[in-house]
This record gives sequence, structure tokens and C-alpha cells, in this order.
Amino acid sequence: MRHTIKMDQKDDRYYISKVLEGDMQAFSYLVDKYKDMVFTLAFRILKNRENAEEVAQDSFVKVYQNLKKFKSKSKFSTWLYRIVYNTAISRVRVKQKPTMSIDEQNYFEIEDEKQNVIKNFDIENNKMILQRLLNKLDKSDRAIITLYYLDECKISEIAEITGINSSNIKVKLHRTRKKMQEELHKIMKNEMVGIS
Amino acid sequence: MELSDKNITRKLDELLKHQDYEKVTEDFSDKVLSGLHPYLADVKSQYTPLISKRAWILVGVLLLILFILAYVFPSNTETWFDIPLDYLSGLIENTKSIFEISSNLFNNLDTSFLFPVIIPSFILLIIFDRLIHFVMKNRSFFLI
Repeated sequence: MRHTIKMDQKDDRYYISKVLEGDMQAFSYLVDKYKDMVFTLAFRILKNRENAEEVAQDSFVKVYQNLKKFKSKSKFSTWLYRIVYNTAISRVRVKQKPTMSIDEQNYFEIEDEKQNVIKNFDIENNKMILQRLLNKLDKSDRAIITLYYLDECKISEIAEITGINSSNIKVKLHRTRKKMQEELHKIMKNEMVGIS
Repeated sequence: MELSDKNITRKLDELLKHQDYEKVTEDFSDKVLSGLHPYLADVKSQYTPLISKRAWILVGVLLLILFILAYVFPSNTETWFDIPLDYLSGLIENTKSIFEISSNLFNNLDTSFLFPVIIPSFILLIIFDRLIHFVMKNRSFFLI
């Protein structure tokens, strides 16, 4: 799926020019193309589906309103993710709905079931483990990890999106990975105790 | 299962590389597009004249150039505006002769027609073509 985004960056310019001519179908195409990544990025920062969906929608509206200002100096996706990142970070600062996220609910249910779910590292469990690891991180670190590993953004692009300089991004990636490794170690250790 | 650093690193790589996108609700795109309706209404309600002020100025300048050229390259006794009807009939005759593959086509042309009409028209055509090209290239600027 990530390859579909990477493959046709050039197409974006065509669709952007169509949108600027008033073609709403072209904008609909861009929304469909990027909605999952936009939502994932917002969700990783906010840890709440409802808020993340609102942020994702707001971001697309902002993109539409400011599309004339997009100068194609950077990739459209970089510009879009920057808007999503800033909108989500602002949302965290202003208000965070106190409702527990679905994933957090799932996480606690798992804990109640004495971690039976994480005994086998199948796809679903991997997702839950990753969620646990991400929950231990700072919001900007979650965003960086998502952009780097999920969307395969370059360091320079992540720097542009987050407003953090490239060397700091490298340091953050290294530290975050180390932190995740430590947390994963704990999880796997617990699993081994559970088995024995 | 041994919990070596290598295993942990491998597991983490696996988790990070095989992570997938979170899925939005099915009506997400519809919600986004309906959220844009207020902005679309604003755009539609704005009156945009078919020919902008700048385009009118452009036409004015072109006409001015036309007048200047008409007086810079006058014919011997007549003003430029008296010429076209006479030469139009001449042109029709010439056109006829083209279809008849007449050998004396070029003999029918009056050379005095060359300077006052053809050359300025040719220059104007080039200028107009360049201007149209410029206007089309900068449409957004001219429609403000």
C-alpha cells in the first residue's frame, strides 16, 4: 500500500492543478490516496480515533483552502503531513478528549486477560505490541517513527514536516528505537514467564 | 527462546516494517468533501467578470497601437481607414486567381499595400499572439 503513495508523486501535481481549476473529483482522488496515512499520523499523535479523524478532516480542509500557496518546492505529501502534524500537535495542546481510545481499551482488556493475546506473535498481536510500544513514546517521537518506517519518508522530509532539524531527527530516531527495544524486551520477557 | 539483543532488534524491525495504516471510517471522504461546501459556495458567489479590467486595458493599448501605426504608415493620399475596402476587392480578385492558378497573381498586388497594411498587421499579429500567450499563462493574475 505504501508503494502506491511513493510511486506516483508526479501525479499529485496533475491533480493539484485540476483542483485549482475547480475539479472536485481531483481533490477526492487526493483525499482517497492519502486519507489512511493522514489518519494514521494523526492517530499516532493523538491516540484517539475520534480526535484523529477530526484532525484528518480539518487537515484536508486546510489543504484545500491553501492549495494555491503550495509551490511544489517539496513533495505534496510532505506539505500535507506538515499540516496534519501541526494540526494534531495543536489539538493535543488545546484539548484532548478524555475518552479512552479503542486501542487503549483493547490494551487494558488484554491486561485483564493476563496477556494471553500476546503469547503468539501473529499479525494482530504484532499490531497490539507495536501499539503498546508506541504508547510509551512521546507524541513527536510517535510521529517520527510513523513517518520514517510506515511512509518511508527521508530524514530531510521528516525535518520539514516536524520543524525539527535533520540531526535531531537522527538522534531522536536512534533514542526512540532504543526505548522501543527496552520495552519490547520487557514484553517478550513477560511472554516467556507466561509460557514457563 | 533466547532474549538476545539480536532477537529483540530483529523483532522490532519486523514490527516496524510490517506495520500497517490505520483505517478511516467508510464515509470519511464524503465528510471531507461535505466540509468543503461552505468554501465552494463562497467561490461560486464571487462575481468574476468575463473580461477583466486588465483585459480591457490590454484591448485599449492594442487599439492605441493600431491608431499610432495607422498614422505612422499612412498611404499617399488616403487615411488607413479608407484603404481596406479598395484592397479587399483586390484581395478577392487575387483569391479568385489562386483558384484559377493564374500566373499573373503577384502582378495584381499593389506594392503600396505592403507598408501601410500588411507589415503593421503582421507586427500586430505577433504582438497579439504574444500577449494572448502571456495572458493565458497568467490567467489567475488577470482574473483577480
